[in-house]
Amino acid sequence: MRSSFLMSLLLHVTVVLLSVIGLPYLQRSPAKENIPMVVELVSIGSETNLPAQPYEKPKPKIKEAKPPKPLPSKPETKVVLKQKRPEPISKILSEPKPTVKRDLKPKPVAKPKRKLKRVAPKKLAKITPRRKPTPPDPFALVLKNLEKEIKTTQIAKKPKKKTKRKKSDFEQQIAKVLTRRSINDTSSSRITMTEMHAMINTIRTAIMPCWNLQPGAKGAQNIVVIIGASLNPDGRVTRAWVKNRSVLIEDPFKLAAAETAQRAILNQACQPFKLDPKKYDIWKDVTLNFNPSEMFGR
Amino acid sequence: MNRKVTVRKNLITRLQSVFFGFIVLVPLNFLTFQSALGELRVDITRGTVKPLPIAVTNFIGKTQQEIESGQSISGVIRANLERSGLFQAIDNQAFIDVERSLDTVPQFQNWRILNAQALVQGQVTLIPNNRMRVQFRLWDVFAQQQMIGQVYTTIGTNWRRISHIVADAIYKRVTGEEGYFDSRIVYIAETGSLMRRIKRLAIMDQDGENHHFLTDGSSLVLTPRFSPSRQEITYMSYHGKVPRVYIFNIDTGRQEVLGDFPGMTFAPRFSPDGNTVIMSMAKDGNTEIYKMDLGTRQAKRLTRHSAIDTSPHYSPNGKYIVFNSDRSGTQQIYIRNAKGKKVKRISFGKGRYATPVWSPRGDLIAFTKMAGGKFYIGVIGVDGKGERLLADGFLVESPTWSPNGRVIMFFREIPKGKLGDKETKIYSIDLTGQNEREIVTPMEASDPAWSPLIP
Repeated sequence: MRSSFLMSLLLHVTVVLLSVIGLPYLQRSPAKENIPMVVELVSIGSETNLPAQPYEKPKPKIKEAKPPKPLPSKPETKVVLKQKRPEPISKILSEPKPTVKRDLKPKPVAKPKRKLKRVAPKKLAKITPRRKPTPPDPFALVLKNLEKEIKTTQIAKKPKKKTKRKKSDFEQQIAKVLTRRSINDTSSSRITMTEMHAMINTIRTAIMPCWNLQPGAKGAQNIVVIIGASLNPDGRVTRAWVKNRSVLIEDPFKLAAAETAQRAILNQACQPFKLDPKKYDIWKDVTLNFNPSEMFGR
Repeated sequence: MNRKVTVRKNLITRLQSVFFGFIVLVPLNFLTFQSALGELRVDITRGTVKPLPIAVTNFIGKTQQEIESGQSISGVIRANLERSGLFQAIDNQAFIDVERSLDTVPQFQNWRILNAQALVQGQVTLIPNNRMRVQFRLWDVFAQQQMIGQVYTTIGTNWRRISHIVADAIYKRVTGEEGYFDSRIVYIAETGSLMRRIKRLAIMDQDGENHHFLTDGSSLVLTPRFSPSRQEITYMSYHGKVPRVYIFNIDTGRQEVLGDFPGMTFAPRFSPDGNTVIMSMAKDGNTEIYKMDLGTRQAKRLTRHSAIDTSPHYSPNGKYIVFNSDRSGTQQIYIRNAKGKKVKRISFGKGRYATPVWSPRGDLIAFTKMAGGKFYIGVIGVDGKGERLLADGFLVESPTWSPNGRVIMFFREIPKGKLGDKETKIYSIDLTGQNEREIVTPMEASDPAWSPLIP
């Protein structure tokens, strides 16, 4: 008698515990803390489900873009700093003509790359209907018509159905992505977070030894230089330019700091960056923010 | 009770969320995704601190004399840049290619192989009436473009100064800070034994060249300071056995005593406009700070305190005065308004602080510190923060700033074998505490003072 009572009690306790832990959605109101996690889930999910986009490999084109050699022609006149010291100055030298600056830009290579980028999102938009169940079952159509007619009274049941559907969709999507990934692994437009961090780390650790700073200068720790760079598939930099030059050019020190950053990225001693050529589409254009604040106290 | 239940529920909910997140989100995290930003962004927050490799070619010329002048000029430029500690001049022997003309673009690949990041080329042309034309170009080897190009015309004997001016232009263009090579040092040249020490006022270029004496050593001279606006030096001399502040005109060689004070005057310094001299006067066992208008020769007392106030120095904008005082019990650094009476102590470290000197840049104050039986040269922010000690020794003293506020010069006394015997030399050190170098002088040297850029 006593043992059966204990068994019954144990069973009841087990049932109650299961109902509390196992079926939480029936009891609790949604916790506020979950909101940011949901947002993050959506953003990653929307991107992870994208199918691979076929694209033209830019390799052959880039091979053509060899760095042009400086031309041995005459100088083009350009403004240089005025000399203030009184004694000896008579003129200021003009720059020799054949400046290589502009010619260096590998324009024909850069354009097709950007086209590729723009194509990708359009195709992504088309894919959204993927969530629909694939085989159009006639029986399901009949059920749908019935649902339309009934509409009103089943409001309470709807959320349950929706969540079930969502869950199944979600699982299907994960399954699809996993299977697709194994098929289209060569795509350069896809990258894992780990790979992304590895890429950033590779570039950062390669450049740091080549960024030659000027410690001790007044306000050096406050300067931020943004450099844009285009890379070849072999990981070498073809072009680098100061993106925020207009902000920095007024102050000779800031300009000099910008040039140190530019030299760092152009320094071939720190190249090529050892990046996965299959992911070239990801790292062909890089933006680098140089900010020595971490390095300098006062 | 309700509260406890809510807490428990929340805990369970959180555990479930974590579980759910672990099961679902973690694998998701490793799924593929495409860069949402489109472009890879990399933050570089650390770099290296190394001298910039620079190739300074011998300036070309057509005649033998031009070629020799060109070699001398590029030699001075190279030495200046290297001495700054911010440049590493590449050995000329390593050059693969030396351009024949200044009007063609260099073969940058030949310089990139040497890891030269900047390239200096120049040309010397001798023109009638013993004059010369010096032109140079500075190239960015990696960016393959000219950074600066200038032409100077001067008399032939002025080649050394032109070299300093060119070095200043290169320094400024590469670092963004003003140069300091076209400047001079005045210091106390010391000879003789400890008991019969002869101290003379001497002057030289910042690289030690063009050295000559300004006084003959018949009277003891101390603490020389340059005028920021005129070719004048103020210093303390024991001429006539009474220590007084004098002014010396470099061009005319004339010296005169500054004011007729009842006590001993010392530690003089010019105001930033050069029209006033600020100094200390000791009388009746107390030392106070005075200033004298050089136009009217009117003196005005600035401090009134029973403690010793001395070593005054104006801020670059002339609005403040930094000085040291023992009014708090030990010798510390204080800042006060040049016109008001508000005084603020800025040094609080252990030990005694002396000879504060305001940086021409305005952000730092250099000082001498005595602590733990040692002397130090250091810098501190004008707000009293960020004290850093740059150099130390048995006796290091008298810091003076380069015109651009980047380098500090001071003297160091090194005890020698015999009791009381010593050796005194001048040194320079970068603001970062790196690149300490001895300034070579013909004899022992102390009390250096750096001039502003030569006008």
